[in-house]
Amino acid sequence: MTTGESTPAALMPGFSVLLRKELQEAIRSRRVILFVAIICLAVSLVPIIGYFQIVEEGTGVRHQISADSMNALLTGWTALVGFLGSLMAVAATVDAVSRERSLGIAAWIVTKPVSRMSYLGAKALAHTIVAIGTLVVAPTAVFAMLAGALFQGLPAAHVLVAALILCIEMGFLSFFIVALGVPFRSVTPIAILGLAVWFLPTFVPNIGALRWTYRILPSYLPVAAYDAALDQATSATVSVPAAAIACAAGLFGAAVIMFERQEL
Amino acid sequence: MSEPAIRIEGLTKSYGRVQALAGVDLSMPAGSIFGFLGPNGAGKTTTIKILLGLTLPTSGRCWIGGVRVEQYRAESRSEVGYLAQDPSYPRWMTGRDVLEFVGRLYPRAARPVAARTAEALQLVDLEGAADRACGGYSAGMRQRLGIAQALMGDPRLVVLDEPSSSLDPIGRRDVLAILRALRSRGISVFYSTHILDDVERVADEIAIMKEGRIVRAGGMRELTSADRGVYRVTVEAPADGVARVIGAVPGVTGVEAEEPRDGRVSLMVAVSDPEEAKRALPRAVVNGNFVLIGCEQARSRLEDVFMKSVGE
Repeated sequence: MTTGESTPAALMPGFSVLLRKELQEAIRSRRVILFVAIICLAVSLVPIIGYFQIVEEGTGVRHQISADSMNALLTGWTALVGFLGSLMAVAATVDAVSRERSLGIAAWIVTKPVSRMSYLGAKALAHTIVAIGTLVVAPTAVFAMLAGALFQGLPAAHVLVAALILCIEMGFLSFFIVALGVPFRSVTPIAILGLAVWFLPTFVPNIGALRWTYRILPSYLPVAAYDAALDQATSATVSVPAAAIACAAGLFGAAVIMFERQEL
Repeated sequence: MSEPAIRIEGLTKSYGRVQALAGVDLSMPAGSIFGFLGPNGAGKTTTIKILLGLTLPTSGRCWIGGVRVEQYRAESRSEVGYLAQDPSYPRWMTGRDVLEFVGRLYPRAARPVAARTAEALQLVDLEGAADRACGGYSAGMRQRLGIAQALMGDPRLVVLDEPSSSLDPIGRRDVLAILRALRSRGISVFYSTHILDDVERVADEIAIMKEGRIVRAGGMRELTSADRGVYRVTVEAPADGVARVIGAVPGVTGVEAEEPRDGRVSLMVAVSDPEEAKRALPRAVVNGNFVLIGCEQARSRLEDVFMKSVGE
């Protein structure tokens, strides 16, 4: 054993082992499997219903649809992934820290040669990876395959940019919810705060009156994705994801500092 | 001289106005089994939590194998194995998964994870259940898995918090055998428990805590050593009048009879000349027509030491 004044160990010892454990745990989660099934089914209905609607209304000829109809499809996709997906991401992450803390598993893990930053970081990154894979990539792939098969002119580049913003949204949520697990031991306030971020402009309509909030509030990530998908990108399409990344990093850093001093 | 396995100096911990630790000083020799005793609320768990980095002290310093715990907490735990009082693991993991997961967290251990896992499973006799999800394990199996995972890092120090609390007598006996085996391999064992009999059987050193302080510490032999001025005389019951007969022996300064048990009566006899008493006491009992069963110098039991130390 090292003696005397030792040099600091690696910044995040044990991170890869913990990440692997978290990913294994997430893959086994029935909740995640249920969520991916629901969102893929919901997203698949968008082009299918759109197809029948177009046929019924006669607003297009099978493979060639109007710009408005295509926009309606993209709106349906971004709304489902951006809002329903974010609710699912909150639900999948809400007890990530509190459950292990109440069972004593968190204390068990941090008595090993791992840093608390590794513990939280692995949890947040694993939930981000799983949320991106199950709530963005899988439903987007389903949507793109069906829409591509049924219609011509799917703007692939725009869909990719929008999907990237939605990935940032999942990452923001995962890091934010994991960070909230540090000050709050119960899932209820975590869930309420997680949802409050999303519905802030709804609950506090005055926020919308402040134009600059459109450029920085993470609540507008689904709107930024929508704008990107519909080729209506503005400066907010870049600034909102950037602000979300900065916000998640700041909150997560604060949570790590608090966690370092917290009794387990 | 080798570094102590654990050294604690002036450790205090307050929770608001409640002082859980009021200045703990302790040194545990390397390679020993150290019994850490105390009534509920004495501060044992708080001390262990600080040692393992689960909470920060208000003041004071701790070293594990010479490494300051407060400075580099991850490093100071690199060669420490820990078993919590009520161990809990992810329910989906099998026993083998738990051990391999822990094994990979100790990258500096000399042997491969698979070899350490196999050896640990064998040591705690869990080979048959190794591939079952540990969510279905009994409390005793979880405890044995807990001991196994504490050994996965090839530790030099093992901290065990109530390791035999959920075990049946056979399981307890096995745990004590494991502790002796660890000591024979040079591993230090810091052992917190309420089961004084277990500590008495295996510990080399003990410390007794009360109200956040160490009130008694030292070698087990030293603390429970034979009291040369006191004899335990055991005679067959009924033994009316034996106390009077013994009290009349020259050099006897006090006699205290215990309650008869299993047809026997024991008397604690304080003497001024132990060498003379060794001959005089049996002679007086036999001459008084009592049936002598035994006459030996009294040895304090750990329970006596504990009760005296905590003031009960």
